[in-house]
Amino acid sequence: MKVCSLENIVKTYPLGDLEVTALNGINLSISKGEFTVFAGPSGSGKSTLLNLIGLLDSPSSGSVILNGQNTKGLSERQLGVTRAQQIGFIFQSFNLIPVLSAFENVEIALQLSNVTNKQERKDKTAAALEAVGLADFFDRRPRQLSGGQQQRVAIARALVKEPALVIADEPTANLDSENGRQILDIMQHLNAEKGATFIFSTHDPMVVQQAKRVIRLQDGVITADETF
Amino acid sequence: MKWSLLFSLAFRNIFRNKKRNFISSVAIIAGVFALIFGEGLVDGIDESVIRGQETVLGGHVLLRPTDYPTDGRNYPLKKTIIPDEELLNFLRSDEVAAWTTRLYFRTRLIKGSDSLRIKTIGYDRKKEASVFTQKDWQIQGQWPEKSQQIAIGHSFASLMELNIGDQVILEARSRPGAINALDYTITGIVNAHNGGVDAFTAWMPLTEVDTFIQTEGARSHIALRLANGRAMAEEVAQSLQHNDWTAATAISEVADLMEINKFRRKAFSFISLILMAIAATGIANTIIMAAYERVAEIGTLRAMGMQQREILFLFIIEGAFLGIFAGLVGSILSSLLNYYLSIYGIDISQQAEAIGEMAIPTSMYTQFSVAQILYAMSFGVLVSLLASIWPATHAVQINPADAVRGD
Repeated sequence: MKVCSLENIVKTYPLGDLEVTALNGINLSISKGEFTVFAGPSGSGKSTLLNLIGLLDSPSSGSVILNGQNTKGLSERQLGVTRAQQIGFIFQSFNLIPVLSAFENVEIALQLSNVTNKQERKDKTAAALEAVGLADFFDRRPRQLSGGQQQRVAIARALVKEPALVIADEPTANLDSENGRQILDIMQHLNAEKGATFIFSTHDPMVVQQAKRVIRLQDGVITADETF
Repeated sequence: MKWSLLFSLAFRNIFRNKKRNFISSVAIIAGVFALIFGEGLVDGIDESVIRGQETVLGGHVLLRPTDYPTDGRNYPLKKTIIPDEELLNFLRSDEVAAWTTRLYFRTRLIKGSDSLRIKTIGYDRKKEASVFTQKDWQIQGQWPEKSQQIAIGHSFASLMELNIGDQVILEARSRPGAINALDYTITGIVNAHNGGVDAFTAWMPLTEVDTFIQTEGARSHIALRLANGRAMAEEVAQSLQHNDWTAATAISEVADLMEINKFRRKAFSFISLILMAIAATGIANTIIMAAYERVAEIGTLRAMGMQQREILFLFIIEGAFLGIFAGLVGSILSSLLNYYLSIYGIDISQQAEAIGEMAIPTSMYTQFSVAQILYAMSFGVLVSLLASIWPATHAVQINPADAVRGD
């Protein structure tokens, strides 16, 4: 089952009087349960592609189809609702809300995806934090957590709403190798156990090695698409 | 709209940069303080002046002969008249709780080689206290009880170095026009806490006045205390338009002083507005700095599905919280000061005495008004809220794709 399809995606940016092409004619499909990595050097278009799949940006031409729905023409509000309900994000810099506890940082994802039952939110949040090994850190603020722990909270936040797709932009880039490996293990475990679909962008060879599918990008085009 | 989430986030966000937010709030605190304290002070001055008129000089309604001067400086005996039966009948009506007559006339007080023109108030010993409660009055010695005795105002006594038991000569033109002079003994020194009677004033019972200047019962003033107090004064004054007597309320008697006070009120409002304008700039600056500092956070919230207008409201609510905080602090500080001064007052005896015979109490009491506090606080919150709108629209325009990378 296809979770996401990209058809003839072109993305250009204005740069002064010039127009820079970040992505040029991308076609690809991501199926449910995949553990896919976008690999490539800086400026190859990895982050741009993730932003388009995550509906944070819109293509100059082409279509992004998410769970069978063409997202072209959706309003800002509809895109927000789709992101809230179908996409989880994990960022390189963790991007936790500093004024919220670990528990609240995860719970907010459910609040934004319109889970109104408070008890249901509490139960799901607790389960998500326990799944990433943070059962004893519910009340900690982000500044009271290590980088690895913060990224685990971010993973729990991305997965708590059981999204169709989890997008992770260089999730291990700000972690040491040990923490990076642990984070990757957690995501692989969640991918295997819950069937969550992951898409990464990374420079990290360790992440590339663990991927089931590696899509290599160079100058805005796909140069290789390998499944292991 | 997820209001509870927005309020919760906004509330926590204002504690993120306490020093900066506090500094931004100072102008609002000052503006609310100036608005509440200024209004309380000006209202207090108005009330003190009216009360000074009511409790010392004229009661709720003051009657004078129709062509008698109202400037408070001239007291022509020729204009005084004897209250007729028609007027006395009205004064016995239910609306009038008490009334008393006075006769003001000019005298020269001579002590040795010193002399000074003063105002002498002839008063009805039996009725005076029923109109003027005199509860705050202080008398050293006693009120005159026998012939050729007087009491004098304390600041005047101080100026002329007069003491109880001193002999003075009073010289005055009688109502028929002759000049009379008699020896008087000072039996009391009165402090009514009002420049209108404490300065350059002597007190003499009307029976003594009638003898001294041959008034034949003519009076210059009739002061009324009303059963329903100040609220009915205007109505009673209107109904009292007698051919020979003209009625004026205490408020109309001090209208000139209150008119001057309007400028004070405007000045305080102007100062508050300037402070609020400064505050609005500070709040707008704080919110826009917060928006730029939290670019990644805004992007994350947008990525998680928070809508643009929810981001907008998040920052506006933060501004409103700053306004509420500042409004509360400003209100509490000014209310405490106003409350304190509404009980203990401000001593302005030196200024009141310097002004002379105007009906200015020697202590001013501020007015403590909950409505005024709520108004000033709401104004502070509104300014803060409005100042947040423009920077909040900037926060909304942040591109989430750039924002999540913290660009």
